Amino acid sequence: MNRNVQYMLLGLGAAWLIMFIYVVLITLRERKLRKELDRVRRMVENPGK
Amino acid sequence: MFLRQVWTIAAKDLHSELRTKEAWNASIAFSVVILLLFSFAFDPSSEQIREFSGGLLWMTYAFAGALVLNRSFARELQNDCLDALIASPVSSAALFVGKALANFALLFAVEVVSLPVFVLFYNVPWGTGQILPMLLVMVLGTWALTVIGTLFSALTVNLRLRELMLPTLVYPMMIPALISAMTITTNVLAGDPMGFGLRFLVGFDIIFTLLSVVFVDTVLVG
Amino acid sequence: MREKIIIGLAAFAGALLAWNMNTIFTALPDELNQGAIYRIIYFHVPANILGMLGFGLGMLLSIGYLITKDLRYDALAASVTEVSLVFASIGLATGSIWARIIWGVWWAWDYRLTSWLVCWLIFGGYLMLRRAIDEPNQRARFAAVVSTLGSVNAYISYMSIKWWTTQHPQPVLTIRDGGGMAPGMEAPIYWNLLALACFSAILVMVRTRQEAIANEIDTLRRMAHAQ
Repeated sequence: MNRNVQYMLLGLGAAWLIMFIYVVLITLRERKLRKELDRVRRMVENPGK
Repeated sequence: MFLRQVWTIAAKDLHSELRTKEAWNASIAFSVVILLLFSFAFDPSSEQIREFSGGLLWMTYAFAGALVLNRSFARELQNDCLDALIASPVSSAALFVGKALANFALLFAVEVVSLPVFVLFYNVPWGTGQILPMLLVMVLGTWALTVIGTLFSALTVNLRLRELMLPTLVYPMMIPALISAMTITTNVLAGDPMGFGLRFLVGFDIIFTLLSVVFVDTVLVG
Repeated sequence: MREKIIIGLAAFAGALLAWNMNTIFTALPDELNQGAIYRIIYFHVPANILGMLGFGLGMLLSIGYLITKDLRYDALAASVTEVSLVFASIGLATGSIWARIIWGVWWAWDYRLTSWLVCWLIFGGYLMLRRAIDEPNQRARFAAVVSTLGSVNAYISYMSIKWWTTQHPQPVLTIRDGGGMAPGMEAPIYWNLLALACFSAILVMVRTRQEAIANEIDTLRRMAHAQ
């Protein structure tokens, strides 16, 4: 039964881990996009730079 | 009118293929090599070969077929032939069905030639009662592979990562049809009834043919 | 306004999840034959339901793009499909861990598992395809085609336990003419489904906004190069 409980925790842990990894990926992506947006906005406002 | 366009496209493709026989030679050679290699991997004389005879055969057909199907639209890229075809009065649906029929004929011919090789190498017991069911499953399964392969050939033709994206997209899509064809073939070669797989394969063929004909215009023209 | 919705949803979902976890772990007894491991069902089933529905929704949104040519449909479709792929991954992982105890193997090649894995591969290919195409309209068109064909496979996966004899358990939920669960054990599935659906709504909203930002970057970049 102990192995049973172990695997149940493993299963729930796996589910949350996958979700967590995805949220981290989304956050990193958001940061990268914001930086790129600022960079391109500056490029447009200062042509020739 | 539609049928005449389909026929023209199919004849053009088959004609150009018969002239060079590139894909034909490559496919036949490849299927024989695969069957040979698999015979080293598994002992062909054992009884267990019966269980995955269908799987073996259709893996061979799928890989050999990829050689034929990949080139289907890619061969039109030279000299802007693809643009000319799209701009011509031939509808995208007719273009697709014509190419699919040509591919089907080619692939079916490769399979018919490979089948005796398979029967020979793997000592598959063969009775005359099995010919018709075998042909039926070959027709249905090959049509499924052809439709999916031709549609995705059209989709990936202009992508810069074509060589990577085509197998990535096509093989998962083919798996349900392949599995059905495999189980039916194993049943046929063992002399058992074909089972639910037959109805599934027919339904799969119908649905994917309809979807492909509907979507090919979106893919080629937009 | 948008932030308020997200925070509100997150709070609601979090509270619901916490309450439901309490029910699952303290109030419910262990299942007779399976022991403690059966509680995985409370994540496995909702995740897969969300995955399947999400793939179907992505298909409808893609068709919405094809009809209206409005790229916002495409952005929404991509977000929904991506989040559904994450839930499908959770479903596959939790199912595999459950199977290790109950069946003794990590994986089995029955029709339900195989067809769901195929779905996962197809929609993984969908995301790869989107990365490979730069032009937004072409990307949206091709993604729509792959999404529709992939959704056929999602339907096959859904019906697979009816059409074939599978190792995967038959329907037990009462909404799908099952009814094999003890009283009180079925409700937490639906509560978890609601909580996870709220989470997925948040993820989709965030993701869709990222698509909009990416499109804006594209436009601005083109403007900058044109100057």
